Amino acid sequence: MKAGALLVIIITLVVFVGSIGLLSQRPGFAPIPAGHAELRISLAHRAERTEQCRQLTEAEREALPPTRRVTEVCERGRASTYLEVRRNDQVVVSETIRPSGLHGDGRAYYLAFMPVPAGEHLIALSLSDGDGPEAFRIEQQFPVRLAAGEAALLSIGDGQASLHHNPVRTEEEIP
Amino acid sequence: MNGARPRSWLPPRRWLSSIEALLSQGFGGRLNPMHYLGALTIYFFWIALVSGIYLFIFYRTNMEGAWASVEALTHNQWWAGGIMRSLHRYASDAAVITLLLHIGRELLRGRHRGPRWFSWVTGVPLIWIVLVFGITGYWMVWDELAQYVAVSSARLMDWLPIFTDPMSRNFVSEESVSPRLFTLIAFIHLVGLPIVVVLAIWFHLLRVRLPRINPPRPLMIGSLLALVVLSLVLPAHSHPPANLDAVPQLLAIDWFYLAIFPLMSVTSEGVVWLLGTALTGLLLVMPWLPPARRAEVARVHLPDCTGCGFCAEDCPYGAIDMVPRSDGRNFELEAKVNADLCVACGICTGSCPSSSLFRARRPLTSGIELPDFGMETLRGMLVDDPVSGRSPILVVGCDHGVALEMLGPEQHGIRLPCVGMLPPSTIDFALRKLEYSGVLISGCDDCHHRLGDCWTEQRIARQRQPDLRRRVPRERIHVRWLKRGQEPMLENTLREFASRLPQDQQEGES
Repeated sequence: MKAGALLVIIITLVVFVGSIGLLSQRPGFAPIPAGHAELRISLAHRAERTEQCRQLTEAEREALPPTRRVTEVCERGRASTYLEVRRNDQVVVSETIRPSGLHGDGRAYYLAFMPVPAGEHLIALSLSDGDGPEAFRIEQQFPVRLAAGEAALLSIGDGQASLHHNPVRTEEEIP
Repeated sequence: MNGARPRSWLPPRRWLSSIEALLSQGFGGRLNPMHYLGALTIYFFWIALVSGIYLFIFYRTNMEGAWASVEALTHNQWWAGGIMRSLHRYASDAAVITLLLHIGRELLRGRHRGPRWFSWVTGVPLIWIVLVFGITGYWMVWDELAQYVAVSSARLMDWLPIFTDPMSRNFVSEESVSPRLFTLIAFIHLVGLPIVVVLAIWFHLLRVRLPRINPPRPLMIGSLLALVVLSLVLPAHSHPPANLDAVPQLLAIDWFYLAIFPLMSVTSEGVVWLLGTALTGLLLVMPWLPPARRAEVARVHLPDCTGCGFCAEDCPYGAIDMVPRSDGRNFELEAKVNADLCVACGICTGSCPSSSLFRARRPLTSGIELPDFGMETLRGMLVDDPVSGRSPILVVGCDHGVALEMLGPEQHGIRLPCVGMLPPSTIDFALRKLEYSGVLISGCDDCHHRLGDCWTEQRIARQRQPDLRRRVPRERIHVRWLKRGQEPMLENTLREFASRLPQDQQEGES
């Protein structure tokens, strides 16, 4: 084999294998900026019905087939949910969330992953079932201290909210 | 030079040809890896499959055991499991490289248009399948990178208005992860996607006659050894175990598969979907962009067709069917051209036994030929050309090989749509009737029509009908496959060939 041909083969293999070795691991990528933690906001809220359930009259029940004579009927629609989250008095979320489902009868869902600088934060939550900022159902505040790389989860369920934060322990701290 | 049909190549295609010419000089035309990009992609898939089966033997499909089992495999048996793991990853990455090169090469060579649209369009979903294959693979390690990939891919899916309950809610904390996650992912990665890939490859090759599924053995061995060396030099390692109560800081991203997630992080889920959809749509319509004028397809001339079926056997596009005779002659079958599949390569003319310049009839016809380039045209190029007989050697080239114009006006050369179009008897005719000392056939290296080079060699070697008569001295025929840009090599070949030819013949005939 000629030296030139051998050189072409070697260069081809080096470029091929080198590009795999390089791009399979480098350059590195930081999902959040250095010195930052992550605040996660997860809402799954079943809002109030747009119309209250009502009792059927005896005449209405009589009109129904015997196997379907319920005592109460409810319209399916639910109200939109207004969510506001402030971090250190700064509004970071202000959203009116429609209920899920084709008929708008499911839960309202909201999910956000937001990088925040490491340090102390006061997370204030406001939630209402109406469209406007009046009639808040929940208003709560959560102080939290986040180190870089930690994550806190503000979880908002049906009528309740909580902030989960498991501080990351170093190897020395692990018993 | 004769056969001056217009031929203009865009600069990227010339660059591609130059790179391939260089690789052909190093590896030789028969082992040039650029000629086997599709086959190499399949081969890397097999390597990933075999190494993956080994990894699965030791893998624990649950949240607590996944990371630990991969770590144990990587470190406790680095000599087997560690290499297998690295090989699994690097073979998958290599498949992406060859896949992208395969797409680019076919695009630049225009081999995605016309009847080839089917292979092109069925190849597009394979890009997505391979991407999903790689992404789900990274989930399985369940380290910090897997966490990032899991959360990001869930967010990507949540952007689509198909899930009521966002998928990402499964990854907001350690408690939220379903224990069934690993069963699902293992099923998708280990069972579902391999079956889908095999089916997709089958569809992709459905209309390709005699596809190259396996690369040549030296290439297989060489590339496997190269990946093993890489696995030893740069073994794949895991990040720290996933912790959904924290957020990963710096990740060693596999850019071959995971590049969409950093793109999503710096833009948005919508941008990724928009780009992905736009790119997929663009690739899907590429065969028809811009609309191209199609060359006139081959036509059957029934008075010359004996229904032998050689043309149907040789057509690389499966564009010829043998159907019951319609003209009442005493033959069972006749050839019928499917205009939708024919690309006017002319290989059928080369395979027709009636394509012979020894026949005296004028106009000369063949059982099947191109309306724009029939046997009468070939005779004109060979016999009636004023250059005919002035050079000792006749050079036969093709539309996709070296530019015969470079050989100068005194050198008689003819350019065919494909050298597979050359009826073997034409070589005999050139040597006996036109008194050439030799015939040099130089079609494109890695035939544009895939089988023209192969059929030509087999016809000369009397391994395929119609074959070259035994009486034709083989030392007066030389075959050299070259790419555009290798004109100097053709000149050298011509000189060497001329020096090998018997001197008395050259003198007498010149």
